[in-house]
Amino acid sequence: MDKILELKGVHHSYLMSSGQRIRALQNIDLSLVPDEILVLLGPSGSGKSTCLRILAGLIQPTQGNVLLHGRPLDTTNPEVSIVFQNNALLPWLSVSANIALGVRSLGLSEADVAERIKKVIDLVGLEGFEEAYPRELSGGMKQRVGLARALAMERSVLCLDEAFSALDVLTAEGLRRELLKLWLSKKTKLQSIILVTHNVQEAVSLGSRILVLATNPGTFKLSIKNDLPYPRDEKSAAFKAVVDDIHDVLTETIIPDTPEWTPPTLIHSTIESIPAVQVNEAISLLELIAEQGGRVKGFDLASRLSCDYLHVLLMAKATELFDLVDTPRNDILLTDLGRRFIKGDINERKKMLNAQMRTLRIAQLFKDKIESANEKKLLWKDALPWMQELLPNEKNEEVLDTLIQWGRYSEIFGYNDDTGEIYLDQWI
Amino acid sequence: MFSTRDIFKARKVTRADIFVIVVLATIILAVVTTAQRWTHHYQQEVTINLGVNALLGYSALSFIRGIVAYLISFSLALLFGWLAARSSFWEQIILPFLDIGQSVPVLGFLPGLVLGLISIFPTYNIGLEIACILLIVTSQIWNIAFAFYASLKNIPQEFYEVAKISRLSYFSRFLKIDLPFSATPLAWNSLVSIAGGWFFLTVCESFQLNGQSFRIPGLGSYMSEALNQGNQQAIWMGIAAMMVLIILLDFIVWRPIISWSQKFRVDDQPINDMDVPFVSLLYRQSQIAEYFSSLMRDLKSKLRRYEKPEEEKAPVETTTQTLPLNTEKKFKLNSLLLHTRKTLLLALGFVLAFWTFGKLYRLVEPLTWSEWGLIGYSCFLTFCRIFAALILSTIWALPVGILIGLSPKLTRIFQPIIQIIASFPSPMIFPLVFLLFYKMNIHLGISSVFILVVGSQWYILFNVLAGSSQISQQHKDSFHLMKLNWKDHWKRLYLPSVFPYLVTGWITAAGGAWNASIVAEYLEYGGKTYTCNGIGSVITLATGTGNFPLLSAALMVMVGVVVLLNRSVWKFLFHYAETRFKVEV
Repeated sequence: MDKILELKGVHHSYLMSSGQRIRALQNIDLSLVPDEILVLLGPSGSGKSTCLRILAGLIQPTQGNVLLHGRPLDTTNPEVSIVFQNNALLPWLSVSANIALGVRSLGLSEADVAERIKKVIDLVGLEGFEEAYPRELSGGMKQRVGLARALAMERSVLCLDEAFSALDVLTAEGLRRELLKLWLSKKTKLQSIILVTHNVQEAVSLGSRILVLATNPGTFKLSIKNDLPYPRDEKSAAFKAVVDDIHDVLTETIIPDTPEWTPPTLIHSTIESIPAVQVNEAISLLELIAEQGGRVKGFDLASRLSCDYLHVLLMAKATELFDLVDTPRNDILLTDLGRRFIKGDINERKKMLNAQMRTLRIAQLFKDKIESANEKKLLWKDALPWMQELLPNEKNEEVLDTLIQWGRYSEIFGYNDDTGEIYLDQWI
Repeated sequence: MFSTRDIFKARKVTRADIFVIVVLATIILAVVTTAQRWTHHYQQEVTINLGVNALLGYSALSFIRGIVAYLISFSLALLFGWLAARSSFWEQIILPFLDIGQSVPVLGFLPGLVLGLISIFPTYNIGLEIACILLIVTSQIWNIAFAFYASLKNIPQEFYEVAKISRLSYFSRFLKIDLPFSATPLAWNSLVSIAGGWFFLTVCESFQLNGQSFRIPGLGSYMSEALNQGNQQAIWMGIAAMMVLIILLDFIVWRPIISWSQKFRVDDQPINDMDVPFVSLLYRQSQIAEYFSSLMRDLKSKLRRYEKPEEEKAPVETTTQTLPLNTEKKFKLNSLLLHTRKTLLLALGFVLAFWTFGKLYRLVEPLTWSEWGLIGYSCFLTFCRIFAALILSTIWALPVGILIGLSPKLTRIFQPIIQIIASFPSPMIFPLVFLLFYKMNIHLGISSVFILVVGSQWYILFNVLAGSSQISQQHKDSFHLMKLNWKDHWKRLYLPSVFPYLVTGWITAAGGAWNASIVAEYLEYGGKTYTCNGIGSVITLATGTGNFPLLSAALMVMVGVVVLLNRSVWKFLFHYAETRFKVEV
């Protein structure tokens, strides 16, 4: 089948304000064929939105080729329209004027423009709201306008950039179903859809092909062909099986079950940063696991907390670093230390975290760095480049701030915001 | 954890700042050397009629002058703001201009500029008219340009992506996205700019130099004539006319425009402007001082949110193998162009700098050390006066502002009044204050402090009021529940809460005071001239006697001192207040 869009060996990196160059995408090969819904699934920061913008020709990749029908693309992609997460509607234009925005630049007659607007308004079910302003509409209705605006351009590829993520569960569900119906009905010029999301359910219910991205830097981890017939029943065993498979892949990506064997003497020599999660939310997670009897499926936890599965994984990873939980397969279970931690009062908790933190390689190195500083006080801005050298592929500010936050909680490091100095607190 | 870093960043003097200083020096040179050529006797004396009917005509003339200047400012500001927001090349040049431009006391340039333009148009009043409008423009343009720039920078990336995907032209992007997004800040800043314009208008319209009077018919010259004749009734009529003009503008023009501009607000954006309109605007306006760090923070959050590259166009890393040929070429060409542009600019800058400073050096060479000493001493005196004026204003305006702001009822009553008082040009009241002290036999050296207070106190009052009206009810409740006494309320809640606003008030007031010193230290009344030692009177006297070396030296020193103070003391205080005392909402 001929390919509509292709990425060949695409790399992309960008500069952080700290001067650090972050690799967002590495060696991406991707193709989009007609009549498919391609899903880019991954945690935030995996570069999936960047990937979408490269496909749309909104940004040029640092390296590699973007091909449209086999020819290199060097402008904004004339075949692509986008629906954005926050809908990007102009608040001072009415619904029909918002939809008309792009149609007018196509050089059609006024009558044709009106005709087209009428058609898409009919398609997405916005009749009666033509003259309404976006602020009068609910989130779901706004997103319909965003969709109508994209469809009105009559382009062959529709990109959905987390288009359902800002909506409540029911609304998102309804809109997904309608979009699917619209696509299957072939009433439009639409050939293929690219969906960017971090929601596994959504990916499985829509995607005919799912590409799973991993972070640091963004690479493709896995490509899943999803042949389940539309419309898909989320309760069916087959659906659940695909979801479970993807959960396994994601979990394995973020918290590998079987890391490469390291000799016991070097067990802490690999430097791992603390994932960017708040201390308090991690503790809430532990408490929730304890309430559930000490062992929970990560996915259940995510739906219970109504938060992103990937974020739950990050929290699990952070607490696992401190030996508070164990993560066999998709499960998260409290360790003995974890149980004692939950039972302890705040001071005992701090003591335990303090003891655990001392065993972390990154904390030890940080301690040495602080001790080597003038008067054993390390300036935040001096710690930044050091951190960058240590973990060149990670966002150094985020890593440093998280380390300081956990260090402050366990009273191992102190930080003075006025002077910007980091010092050792109870590491004696 | 960003506080200290920001302060460090803010105190750095950039290359662009140096460029701006060179340009400023060039402007001083140009103004002074053109003025030097003026040898004729000025004969376009305009007689001012103090009658009521004539006053109507004068008001209309002043009004037209103000509007023309505003229209010029507005168009130029849109151009500069747009360029700075859309091109990183222009951003580097324009932003320092906005920052320094708004803090330079432009009134110091008035005498030189007037003489310079009269030497070009010796037989018509057009020189004076142009000088007048030019000065008003230089007082109005900065905040509009910065507001437009800041608003463009805040437009979410997706809107431009929509525009690009929809293939909108630059012009329709400007009309459909840029302008509507900025409508509210543009409306408010226009109001502020016009108000600032009256200040300069009233000073520029009538000017006495070395016994000769330069004037163009208008409200300002009406006032000065009234003062010259000591005609009390006319003085009050002039003030009343100005007041009526401002109130009419407020009701007929600004209120409708501002409520209309609300149509263009973005959904979720809270409408703070309506709560504390004029005041919160003043506050934001001086936040220009913070643009470097806020820009960085902005970029940072954008990067996090959209994973967007900061430098899309810059040639990145070595990618020769896999890049398609045309892209590679484009990169090279781009970088070459960028490079040449930069080199050319740098070379131009150097030539300009050498030429300017060479010329300036030759111009100020005849000055003796004692004259330099006099300039320094005068600058110091004026500085002390401004300092004293700020302290005096703070003593009454801080508690009063806090008390008014704490009561929503009082705030509602004072809001519209404030908007109008803030628009009233203080130079029109200066002579009255002078007279008051003159009758008490107090020397202008002392009374000019009070003249400065007249102009600067409002800024402090408004800002403090805005600050205290935004102290949260929760904070007040918790203090109440803890049964803290009034001392603790003031010491631990009110004063720290309003501190960032107070600093803003100081910055705005000090900026206005440097300008006002030109007028406050040199007054004419009843055919007599009253002066006191200070940089303002040095500048005015140097022009009057045609002492051009002294004039350019005094201008340079004053501009230098003001820019230096802004870059160091004020900027530091501002950051300190913002990071330590700003209550996050």
